Amino acid sequence: MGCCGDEENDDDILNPLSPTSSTTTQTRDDSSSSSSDGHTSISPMNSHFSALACRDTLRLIFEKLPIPDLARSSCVCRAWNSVASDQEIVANAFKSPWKLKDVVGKPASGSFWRDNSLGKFAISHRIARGDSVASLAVKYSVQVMDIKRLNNMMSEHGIYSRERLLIPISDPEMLVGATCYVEVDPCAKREVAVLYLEDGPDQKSMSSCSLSQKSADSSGLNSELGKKRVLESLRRSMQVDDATALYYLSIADGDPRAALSQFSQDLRWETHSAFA
Amino acid sequence: MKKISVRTSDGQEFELEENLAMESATIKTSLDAFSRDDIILLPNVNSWEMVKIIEFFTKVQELETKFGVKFMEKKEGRFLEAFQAEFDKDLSDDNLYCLLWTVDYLGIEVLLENLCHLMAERTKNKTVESCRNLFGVQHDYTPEEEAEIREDYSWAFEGPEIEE
Repeated sequence: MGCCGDEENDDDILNPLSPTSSTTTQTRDDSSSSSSDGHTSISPMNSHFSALACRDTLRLIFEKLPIPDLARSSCVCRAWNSVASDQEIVANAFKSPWKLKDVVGKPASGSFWRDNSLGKFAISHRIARGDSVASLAVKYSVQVMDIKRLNNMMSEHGIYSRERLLIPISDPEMLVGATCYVEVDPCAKREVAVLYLEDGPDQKSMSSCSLSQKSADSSGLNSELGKKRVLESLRRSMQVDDATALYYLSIADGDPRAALSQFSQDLRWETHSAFA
Repeated sequence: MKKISVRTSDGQEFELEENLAMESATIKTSLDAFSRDDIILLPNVNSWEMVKIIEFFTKVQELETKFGVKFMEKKEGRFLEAFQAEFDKDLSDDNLYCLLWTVDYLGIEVLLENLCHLMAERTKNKTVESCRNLFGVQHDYTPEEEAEIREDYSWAFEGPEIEE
């Protein structure tokens, strides 16, 4: 099985394209009928388009595939792999069933993207005075056991030693149009796509100015608190200290994705020059 | 409405209404460069493909009348369903593939989007080998690379839904 139009490329461009069977390369005079039944069809093997070079069209197709099919496409050949593993396509496949607006952050391993079930997502709840696991369970309509499991809590009393708790998501509607941050949660000990609710239940820790600014920017990135959260989440994703995270965020003009991509570029450069 | 003549690779001539012909970026470029009275040569387009494309345009006009929406300007979901119902049953995998690349060459965005959608549907739940057959793709992995990448994505091969 040869690549599309490999050997026949030159000839085909000179001759008019005619349907042939895959075993012969001669053109047939009666091939100009406009019917498109099977045996007069053009085999991709004889097509003189350099189809594999057409990454844009491949992208259009892959954009519509769900995650398992994307993965299988990567195994087909190198060209397909480079398009199907493209970060944007993978991220979109991850986001699309939930209609997420954006997922910010680069997970430590690509296997993060393999699973976009609801269990991958969680709400970040900042612990406030008076909170208990039971009250949070009621507030977010989830089970106490699920909160404990997600946060690796043995007992419910450990709640006050933590800054925040991750809450499993009961209603997928919350994800629609939302922005999630990929974080390694130290308590959950795994990578989670975290949702910060600017409006809604978690209002005690918010100042009023950041609430009003939310209307313009759905992820509240303009507010001071929003910025702090982005910084925190960036720090967790990159697994560096505050100062480094702040540096990258500032050179990227506050764009966390650009910051992460710059960070990983720098890491790669460092690795390469170590071998140089 | 002015008609534009095109000639396909096998010598057949077709007439398109001007506004429809302009949907093709490639034809539009030719029209801008040359006089509208000339016949446009399309050596990369086969006549059966041209027939399909004209069929598509006719269908769009029908649906536009029926739904009262300009489908060419937006990508409407309903159009997609209706389109899929009509086109999917007629096209074999090979034909769909060739039509896809022709439409890509001609630069007809809306049709391309819909054909890609059809193609994606046909790619779903297929094994790697049948994908290769479907697209006529050359298997260019070395055995080691193949083993490695299959390992990475081993989770995608579990599950009963994969059909041959």
